[in-house]
Amino acid sequence: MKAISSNMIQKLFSVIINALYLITIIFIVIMVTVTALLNKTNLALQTKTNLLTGNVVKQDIPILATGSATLQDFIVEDGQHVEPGDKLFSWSQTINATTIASQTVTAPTAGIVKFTKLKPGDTVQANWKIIDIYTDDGPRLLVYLTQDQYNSIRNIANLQAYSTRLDQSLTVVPKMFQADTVNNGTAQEKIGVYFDFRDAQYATSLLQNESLKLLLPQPKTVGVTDMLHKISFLSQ
Amino acid sequence: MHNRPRKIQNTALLFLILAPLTMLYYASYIFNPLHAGNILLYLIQLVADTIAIINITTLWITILLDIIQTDHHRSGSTYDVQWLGDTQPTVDVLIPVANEPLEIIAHTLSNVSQLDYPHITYLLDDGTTDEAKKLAKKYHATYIKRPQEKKSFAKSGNLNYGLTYCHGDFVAIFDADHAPEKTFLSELLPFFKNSKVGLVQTPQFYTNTDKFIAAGTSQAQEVFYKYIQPAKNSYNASFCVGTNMIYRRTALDTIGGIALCDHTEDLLTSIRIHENGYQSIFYNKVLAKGRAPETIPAFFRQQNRWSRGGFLLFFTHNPLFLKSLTIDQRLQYFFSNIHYFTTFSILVYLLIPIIYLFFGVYPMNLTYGQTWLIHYLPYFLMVYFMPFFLLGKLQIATISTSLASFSPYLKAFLAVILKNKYQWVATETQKKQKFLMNDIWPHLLIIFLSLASVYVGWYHVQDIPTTLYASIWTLINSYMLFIFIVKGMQKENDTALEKVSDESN
Repeated sequence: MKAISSNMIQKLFSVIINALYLITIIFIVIMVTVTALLNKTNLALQTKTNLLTGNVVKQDIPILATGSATLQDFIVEDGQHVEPGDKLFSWSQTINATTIASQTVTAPTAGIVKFTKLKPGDTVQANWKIIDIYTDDGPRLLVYLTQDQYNSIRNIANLQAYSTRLDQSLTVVPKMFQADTVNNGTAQEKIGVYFDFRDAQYATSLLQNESLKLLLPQPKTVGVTDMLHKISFLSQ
Repeated sequence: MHNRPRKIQNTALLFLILAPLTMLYYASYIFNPLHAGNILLYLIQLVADTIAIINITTLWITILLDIIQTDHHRSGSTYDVQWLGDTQPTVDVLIPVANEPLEIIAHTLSNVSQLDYPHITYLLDDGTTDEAKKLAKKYHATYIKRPQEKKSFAKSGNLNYGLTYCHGDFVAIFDADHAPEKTFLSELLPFFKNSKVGLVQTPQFYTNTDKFIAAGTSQAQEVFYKYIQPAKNSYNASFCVGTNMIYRRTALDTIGGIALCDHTEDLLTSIRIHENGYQSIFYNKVLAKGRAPETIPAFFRQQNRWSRGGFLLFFTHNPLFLKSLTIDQRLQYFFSNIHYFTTFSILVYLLIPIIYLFFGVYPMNLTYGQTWLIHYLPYFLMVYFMPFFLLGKLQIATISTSLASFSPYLKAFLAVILKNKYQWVATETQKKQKFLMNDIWPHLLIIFLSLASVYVGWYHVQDIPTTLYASIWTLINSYMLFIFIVKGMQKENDTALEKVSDESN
């Protein structure tokens, strides 16, 4: 009997020790998994909430008709980059009943040409827009931010914006004093903030209305202690 | 005298061609710092790859030199049966035991009693009971039990104590679980005509390869006895493996008996024999059959003992600096020593995909993941399929046991570094392992971490191809470790004794 009970105690002891090993292993795995999941969640959260989309806004110089005229020919093509003095199109204006003057209009500034719906042969009236030129100077990025996002960039000198089309990151500088408060069609009021591009040379490659992704600074992340606080709070 | 395969198989030739190509191709990628990812992990990966590549290279060199320097094969040159008949030297057969199952000891004693050359058998019992005494009497063996006060050093102490009672010209040694063929002595003794021959060793051959762990161990041993020992034999550097061999008694006396240490006394004894100008011969014919460990505790005990000896030699008696040995011998012993460092490579290879899946960090820059894969895959396949290249067959058991052995190797390394005292326990001891988890917790931890890491990896997945590679990699590793645990936990005593009795019949 003694031998049997001693044997049983040994077996029981063995089971307990093996179970303790297993519990420790499971505990370690859970801890590592929770830590990794928190890291991933935070990363995903940051990627989701910190990547905003903004649009490139270029200065637009419309070329307007000065009076009644007939468009003869477009010398440039839609989307073409022009320098000051480059010929844009020709037209004929009726000065009086007998005099028709043919003229060629040149670009007043460097930029990218954007056609309207007009085509050669069309007759235009005074102040009709014939061509737009988006100038190379001073394209900006317009991004709509929530109040929290706006606060998070208040003291930031520059941020990164990414162009998927160019596969290139560009440094942008927020112009806080130019902010506009808009509703932007959503329930939450948003603030429209303009950003200047620090490197103007690269910025000239951007297109009007092109979407850029703006990476905001990382917000405070969720931690294990936060989670434990929540658990203890809930259990009370 | 046929003692080694003369013709190397085609798959082994393929290994000789593919191994350097795949290694160089991979090395050109991994050793380029431009490809570094996380710098800490990169450095760890470099160490792991360096160890693995060095080990494969030493194997490659050993096999290649053995092929191109065939004139080194000189083991048959002094073989003389006539000499044996004329001189009739005396032989002592020593069987050291320490708590092995009685049935296993009986089987070995029975086979020893049937040896066809006159001999005296000594059963050297270091066990905690006297149960083996009856067996010794039954098989007409002299029973010697060390008194408690003289029990210093394990097997080597036991053997040396036994040597004080016997005075034959030659000493044959069999572990309790290795039973010799009838002709063991009569086939090996003729080598000793050459008075410079101090040791003749035969392969360890396992009969219980129907068991998973035993099969894995057996195939790893097969590589050793098919390629490495014959190659070492070419450089007079084949060494004793602790059983199935004969020592010349004068050689043993010259070096003061079996080297006294708690593990790998066989390797150290071989080194001393070589240092004293004696030759060793590896006779590549199975003349004794034994049992490989079948259970996890037995396997780990064996691997821990071997690796502990390897590390200890590396750090305290590094063969590279033993001036009495030839350059060939130094290199061959050194090659055997560094094998156990592969534990670090295995551990890193097990952990890298898990770390990536958990935390998204990787040693390499995976911006162009395909580039890494293209360089790594051929090397990976070459390493995984090495048993196939060398033996023409591949068993999951071999890969599984190789992966699982990182744990006893690592424990041995730490024990040597921390100078922990070692208590020798026979591989097939009857002593029950109390806590199985003590052995398998690292493997279970890796399996659970792998499964969890796959879940985490696919949660908000960013890089699908790399996550897929890492998931497949870690799941394969986990499966190998899992199957090792499951197969190793199956009760060994259900068939083990039946096998012994089958072999006896």
